[in-house]
Order: sequence, then structure tokens, then C-alpha cells
Amino acid sequence: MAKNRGNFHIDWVFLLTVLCLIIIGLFTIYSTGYNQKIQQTEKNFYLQLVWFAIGVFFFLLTISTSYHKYVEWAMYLYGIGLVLLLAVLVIGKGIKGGGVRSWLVLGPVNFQPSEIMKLFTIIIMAKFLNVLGSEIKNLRNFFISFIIVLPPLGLILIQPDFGTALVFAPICLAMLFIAGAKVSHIGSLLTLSGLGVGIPLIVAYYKETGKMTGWLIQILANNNILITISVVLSIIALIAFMINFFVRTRVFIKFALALVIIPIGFSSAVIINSYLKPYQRKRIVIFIDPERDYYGAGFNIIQSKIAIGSGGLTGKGYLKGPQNQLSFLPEKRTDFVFSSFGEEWGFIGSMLLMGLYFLLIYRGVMIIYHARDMLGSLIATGIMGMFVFHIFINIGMATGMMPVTGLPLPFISYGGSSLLTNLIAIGLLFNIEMRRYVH
Amino acid sequence: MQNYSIRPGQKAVFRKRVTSFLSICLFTILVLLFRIAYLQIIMADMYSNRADANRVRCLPIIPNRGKVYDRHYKIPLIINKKSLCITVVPVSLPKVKTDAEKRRKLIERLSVILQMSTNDIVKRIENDKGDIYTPVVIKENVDFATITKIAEDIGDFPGVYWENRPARIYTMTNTLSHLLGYTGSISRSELRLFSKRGYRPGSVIGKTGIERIYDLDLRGEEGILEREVNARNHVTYQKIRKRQVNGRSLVLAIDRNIQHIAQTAMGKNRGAVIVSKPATGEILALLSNPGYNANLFYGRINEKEFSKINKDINKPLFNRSIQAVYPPSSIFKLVTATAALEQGFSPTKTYYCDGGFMCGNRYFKCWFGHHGRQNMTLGIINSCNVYFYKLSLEIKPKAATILRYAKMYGFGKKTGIDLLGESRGFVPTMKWKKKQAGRPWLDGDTLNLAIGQGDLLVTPIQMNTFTSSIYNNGIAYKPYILKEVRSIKENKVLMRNRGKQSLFTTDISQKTFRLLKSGMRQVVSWGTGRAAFSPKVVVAGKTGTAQNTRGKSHAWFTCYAPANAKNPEDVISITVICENAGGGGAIAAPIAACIIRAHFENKTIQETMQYIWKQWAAASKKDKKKKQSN
Repeated sequence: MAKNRGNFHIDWVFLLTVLCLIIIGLFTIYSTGYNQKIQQTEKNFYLQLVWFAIGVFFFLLTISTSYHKYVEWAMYLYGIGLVLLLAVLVIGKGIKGGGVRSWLVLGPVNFQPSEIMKLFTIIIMAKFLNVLGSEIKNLRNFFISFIIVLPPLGLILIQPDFGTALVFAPICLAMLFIAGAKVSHIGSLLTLSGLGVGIPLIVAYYKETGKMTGWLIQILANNNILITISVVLSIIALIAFMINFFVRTRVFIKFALALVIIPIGFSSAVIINSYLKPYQRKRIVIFIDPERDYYGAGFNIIQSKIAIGSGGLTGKGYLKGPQNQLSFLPEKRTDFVFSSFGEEWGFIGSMLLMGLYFLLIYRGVMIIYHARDMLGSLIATGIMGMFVFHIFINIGMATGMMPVTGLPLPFISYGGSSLLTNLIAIGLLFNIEMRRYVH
Repeated sequence: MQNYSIRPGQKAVFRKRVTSFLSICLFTILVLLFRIAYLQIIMADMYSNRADANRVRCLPIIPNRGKVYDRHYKIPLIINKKSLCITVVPVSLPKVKTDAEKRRKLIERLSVILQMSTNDIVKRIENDKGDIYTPVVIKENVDFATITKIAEDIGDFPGVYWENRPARIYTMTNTLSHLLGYTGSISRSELRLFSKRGYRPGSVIGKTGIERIYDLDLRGEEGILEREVNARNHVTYQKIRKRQVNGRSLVLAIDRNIQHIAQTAMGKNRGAVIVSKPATGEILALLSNPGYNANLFYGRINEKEFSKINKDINKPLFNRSIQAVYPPSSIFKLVTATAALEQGFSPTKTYYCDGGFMCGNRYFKCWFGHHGRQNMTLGIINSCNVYFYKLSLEIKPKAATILRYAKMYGFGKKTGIDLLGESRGFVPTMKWKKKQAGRPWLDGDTLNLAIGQGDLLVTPIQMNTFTSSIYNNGIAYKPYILKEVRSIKENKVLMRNRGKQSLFTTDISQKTFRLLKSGMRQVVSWGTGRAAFSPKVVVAGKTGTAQNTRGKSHAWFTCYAPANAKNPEDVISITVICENAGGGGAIAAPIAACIIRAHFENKTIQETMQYIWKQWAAASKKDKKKKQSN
């Protein structure tokens, strides 16, 4: 593999897009910490600048070595990531309060290992799927590929950081999809998780609000009935499977598989139902109906919507957003950073931001498309899945479409670990992009 | 497994899947954009109305500042009193641009009710405005009748509220004014300086003294009150979002009884009194006279009162106990004696005092007729200048040695007491003299230095640690005021002063200290400090009379008692300075006597003073008899 620097290709549009996003982020963080009386911003802005510099360094470090090397080291990286996640559980610190231990404190630096773990998981997953090749169509292999995600997922759920754990799902699904897994497999998985997540959602809402009417909800809220149905369906599935032995048609086994999905979905619903913490249940309720708890937790979502909506077409002007200055939003520089931005820059600003994200996604997908090998494509897919999910959840949350999960907005939200991870991810994308003509 | 020859992009399935992936991604972006457009274009009017009508305001709940107690922890020195304030939330007032007339009328009505000029109100709103949502205090300490007047027509006063902002009441204010300091609303420069400690415009902050240095302990944490008002300015809803945390209480080492006696005994004298425990460094009393009434400074500093106090020729704002510098005068003879003894000089050697000493072409007088033959102990007892003139010229190398010992005793360095603005004092050097006076250090300078009348300047607190170090045989502990930080709610000590922090340790021999101490005891029993004599308590001290160009001499007296105490913890060391008052023995020593006799024998000041006068009368009779018999 001859190194030929002349063939290195740099996508300047992509680089510029990322730079613009980071600059917008810095401006917004400056504004959220700005105090009009003393005309100064809080120290967070300067911290973010430092993290940016560190991020650029790691970006350059990432592109300096071919991504094939990282894939070779995948096992070690994955191992290091797991050790860090374990370390967090033992010596980690909760910063936001609420008993979430997701930070490692290294001297003056706080770091969130779960952020970087996403990239390590993407790399090892890409390696695995690349080795599998077309064998991914096999259901057994399809399930095996999930085993890779389980350890980090479990460790992050123990913290518990529900939002970050959730990101692993789209990453996984996107990579499986591009790797060529069967659509029916992915579809079944989605149905399964739909049942597993949807039922607890509905149940939590009705439990919290006390509206326990209607037979369907009564059934869904009753764990015993759900378990009974699951057992009955499983037995039917087993019988169908047995018939398969005597009558050799594909119909019965497909029927059996379809039947198995429901019991698994139900049981996961039962597990999640009992796993949900009261505050999480509350969040679900507020997501469904924020006005319900106007002065409690719903307050944030309403204030965020007011902030964005009152920005109107042209916005209130930089450093002039009253909602932002009001400190109504406790997480205004992380979770609700878009509210401050939308208020100050209006729809024109929002369009610009969404345009930049559009460019980011388009150019990113082009990298998937043009990559030299499947390995590159898969890594790029995982990263793009991660970005899109973050963007969708964060802005969806600020605009009241999604529940409050606390996922940062890529390149905009305050947070060193997030910015660093995103810049390394961009580095990986560039790595793949640059070496697409190198043989 | 890696196949470099076929790019994934060349496979049709892959292309199809990437295209679907792209469309899913772009679809999500589109969904978001539609949602944002819905909020910012279709619903923009609704939300911007809601933002204007967003009358939920986060108001600060002002915590109670911590109380301050003296060492007995019974009656507080500083308490909080409920005080109602009229406040204004600028954003809720009629707008300057659109509703100027309405705003003017509102302020006019307020000015009538509150009895202050409209100008004052406007100025206050402008000065203290942080963001437009934070209430600005217009007037403190408003009575209930005034509030009723506003409350009756609250619909006519949009943006006007009242709340309780506890006032600081200083119970022993004139006595402890310098030590405790006072509070005020934070200034712009302070805000810039402390912006990271959670202050905001309008915050109350300690300005001087204990209030300043322990502000972080005292201030507590503000709570947040969420309050919604309707269009008619009625509060429709309120809820505590965050409870306030009251400040912690401080327990000082100060003894209020001693402090009180010190002030009464000082009377109208300008000067300072410091009482401390040599064994630990605890400050039992710290008085700077005259004081001022800090209660006048409550809330915002009342400018008229402040300038009156500030312009007073007696400088009441000046904390003399730690900020003022004076020549140490005769007390410094103890340092000169130390230098000589440490050089191996014999204390039994005598010099003859004939009332003066010729050095070069200048005649240096003794303070008192002529003392005759004097050894070192007698020199200290009679505070004989001539003895120390002659002695100082025998110390080799003359002045440098004396200055070295002065530094060793802590002069020229801050003691590090927990108050701001402490002065360093001044210890001259040969080089400084040359630069300053344009001539080298002469013998005359040495003579002046030997009796503490030269360029060397000390603060009263330095003098007190010096005295303590003599009692401790060369060790001085850092003086401190704060004893404990307490939580009133749980009645628990949160922090105790580590106490006993060594300030300096001298390498002076025990023999020297023995001689100095015996000299100091005799100063009180039959020397210049006789006024401090007590038949029951053994006192050891030294007087000083500092000549100065501004009128009468400054009177110094520094001592420790009881000199024969079994437990060093019982000993107190007292330093008194009275500016332009006269001789140390006649003015300062009786004040120290009052403190000692009150503290150890429960005598009132009158009793002590009568005793002293009787002694003086007896002494003068004796003198007359002596003269007659002669």
C-alpha cells in the first residue's frame, strides 16, 4: 500500500461546514453565559474554547493514521472504553446531580467516557460486520452483532444515562442496514423495540396522570396479564415450530418467528416498566403533555417553546434574548442550547443552522458512498447515524417533539467530551474521505 | 477479507441502501425544519405574546446573614432585624418610551408616599438595575402604614412590590465598629472582582471588618421565588423554587466585657486598645477610638451621614489598632536591651545619667532631671534615655544589630490578623536612610533609634504581639479574631479556628527574657508604670511617650498580667495607645489598669481610678517630705 500524498483529498465544504457549526456554538455559549450588567460571560465559554483547541489537536491526530490501523486496534480501543466506563462507576462523579455518575475527573478536566465509547463501538462493529460480509443476512449473525453493543450499553444504563445509551440503537441499526442485513430482520427488531418502549410509555403516562380507564390500558398496565399473554403466544410459537418438523414448509417457521417477537416485546415492556425511575416517568408524562405540570418539570419545555417561538422570523438579536437572559432554562447551554439560539436568531438563523446540518449529513453520506471499502463505509455510517440521532433528539426536545433525554446538540452544546468526540468523529470521516483514492 | 478491488459503491444493493439512509436522514432534518417553522412563523405571534405576558418572575429570596457572637456565645454582637423594603421590578414598570407619562405619574406618587425625591427614585432604579427582572430596592425600613398605602391601590403601581430584607443591627456598634465593619450593596468594581462567587447587582456584601473578610460564611445562599402576577399586578401564584440558606454564625474570640471596659476607660482619647492572649494569639478586645455608628450605614450607605463621618477630623473610619503607625518610643528600649544582652553585654554595668548626653554637636536630653547611676534593670524601670544612648553606642555594629532584633520581634511585618487593611509599620535600613536623607546613618540616628524615636514605626497590633512574645520567651502566635463558625440550625460547630499559629520565633536566650521580664515587673511595681499596679495581680509592662510634631506626645503602655500566672492561658497582654494625650505612665497605664482590675478583680473603672489617684497623692506627699527633709 504505497502512500501517495498527492492523492489525498480534502473536502473543504465539509470542513467549512463543521467550522461554521462550531463557531455558531461558541457564539451561543457566549450568549448563554452573558451577563448584561457586567458585560462579561461566564467561564464556560473559555473552557469550551480550550476544548475546541484540544479537539483540533485530536482531529489532526485522528487523520494522521489510516483508519485501517484503528480497525486493527479495535479490540484494544473497545477494551479501554469498557475499562473507562467501569472506572466511572467506581470513581466517577455526578455533576448534574440526580445520582448520575457519568464523569471521570482527571485533575482539572471532567470527561465523559460514554461519549468516546460510541466511536470505539462503531469501529469494532464495523470490523465485525466487514468480516461477516453477506453472512449478516443470517438471523443468528444478526443477533450476534448485537452482543458487541450490550456491554457498553449496560454499563451506561447503570450510570444511569438513558439518553446516551439510546444513541447506540440508531448507530447499530444504521450500520446493519448499510452492511446489508435483511429488512425483515430490522423490521422485526423495530417492532420489538416499539412494543418494549411504547407500552411502558403509555403505561407510565396513564399511571402518572391517574387516568386508568379503558380495558386496553388496564391490560397493558397489568404485568401479570402481559406475562400470561407472552407465555400463551410462546407456546403457540413452539407448537408452530414443532409442526415445522413434520410439515416441511417455510410458512410455519415464519409464523413462529413473528409470534416470538410479541412475547419478547411484552417481557421487555414488563422489565422496563419496573425499571423506570419516578423522575423518568415524570419526564415521559411531561413530554406527552407539558402544560400539565406548568410550574414543575413541564416548565422547561414550555419556556423553551416560548423562547424559540418568540424569536419569530428574524430573532431578538444576539445577546438580547430575554428568555435566555432570564435563566428560565436550567440547562440552557447544554440540553436547551437551541432555545437560546432560536430566540436570538429567529427562523432565519434556524434555517441557516439546519442548512449547515443538511450539508453535514449530505457530505457525510457521500463519504459512505464513495468510501474505498466497506470498512470505511460502515464507520462513516455509524458516525452519521450518531450525528443525525443527536440532532433529531436535541432539537426535537427543544421544540417539544421529543422527550427530554439530555443529548447534546453536535458542535453547538457546551461540553468538552461531546465536542472532543465529535471532532474525532469528523477526523475519522476525513480519514475515510482522504484515503479513498489511496491504494 | 478486505477486498480492495471492488468499491462498495459499485454494488447496486449498497447504493440503494445508502440512498434510503440519506433520505431518512434528510427527512428527519426536514421534519425538524417544519417544526421550527411552525413555532417561529405560524405560532410566532402567539409565542411572542406569551413571552411578553410571561409574568413568571424569578425573584431572589434574601437569606438572613449570619449572626456574630462574642466568645461567651450568649448575646449576639450583630443581629438581623426584619425590615420591609419597597422594591421595583423594572420590566413591569410602564415603559419609558411608550408610557412615559404613566411612568412619571407612578414615580411621583411613589415619591410622595415614600417621602423621597423623584430624582432619588430614578437614580436608584438606574444604579442598581441588573437585568430588568431583578427587583431593585427603592427604600429600606419602611413602616407598615406606608405599605398599606401602596397595597390599597396596588393596581396603580405596576412593578412595585415589597419584601423583607433583613437589616443588620450592631449591638455594640461604637465600640466594635472597626472590628465588625458594616455591609452595603455591592459596588460595580466589587461585582467585577467577585463575579464568580454568585453576587449579583444589588447583593449585600460586607464592606469592612469581619463582615468583609468572612462574607462568604455570613452571606448564605439566596433562594429563588417564582411569582406570577396578572395584568392588575396582583400576585396570582407563587412558589419557592429553591429555599434560601441562611448564613452561618460566627463566634469571635472577642470578650464583650473587656471590649466594653476598654472603650469606657479610653473615654474620649483618640487611640487604640488591644487585649489578647499571649498563649494562643486570640484577640479579646480590639478597640479603635473614636468609633462610628455602623447602624447608620444600613442598606445603602446614607451619603450624608457617611460624608459627615468621613470628614470628621478624628478620623473615626480609620482602624487605628491595625492601620495606624506610631514611633514605639521608650518601649523600644526593650529591643535595644535585647540587642545589647545578646551581644554579651553585662547587665550589671552602669552608666551615669546627668540629664543628657552630648553626641557630636547635639545634646540629647533625658526625659527626667537626672537619674544618676543606672544599670540595665534600672534603665528599664526609670526608662532612662541616657543609659540607652550610651548603651546603643557600645553595641557593635551599632544600629544594624538593633534593627535586626526589631525585625526578629516582628516589626516591619504584618501580623496577619484576620482583618483587611493591616499596616506593615516601618523598620528603616541604612540604605533607606542614605536615600531618604542624603546622608549616611549617623550616631545621632542610633541614639534616636535606641529610645524608639527615630524613623521606626509600629502598629499597636505589632506592639501587642511583641509584648506577647516576651511573655512567651520569644514565641509569638498569629493574632486572630474568629474562633468558630457555627450552624445555628443544627447548633453545631462547622469550623473551629486552628488557633495557635506561630507567627515568629526568636533565637533570643532565656536569660535575656528573664531580665526583661523582671525589668517590666519592676516598671509597674515602682517604675514609670506604677499606675498599672494592682495589689492582687502582678503586672509586667513598659511605658512609652512618643514625641511627635503634632501637639502632645502619644501615650503608650503595653503589659501582660498576671505575670506569675500558673496557667499561661490565663494571661492577657494589653496594649494601649492614646494619640496626643501625654505621658504613657500618666495616661495609657491607668487605662490598662482599669482593664486588668476589672477583668481579674471585678473592680469598676471608678474604683480603679480612685485607687490610682490615691497612690499618686501618697507618692507626691512622699516626694514633698523627701524634699523637705533634704
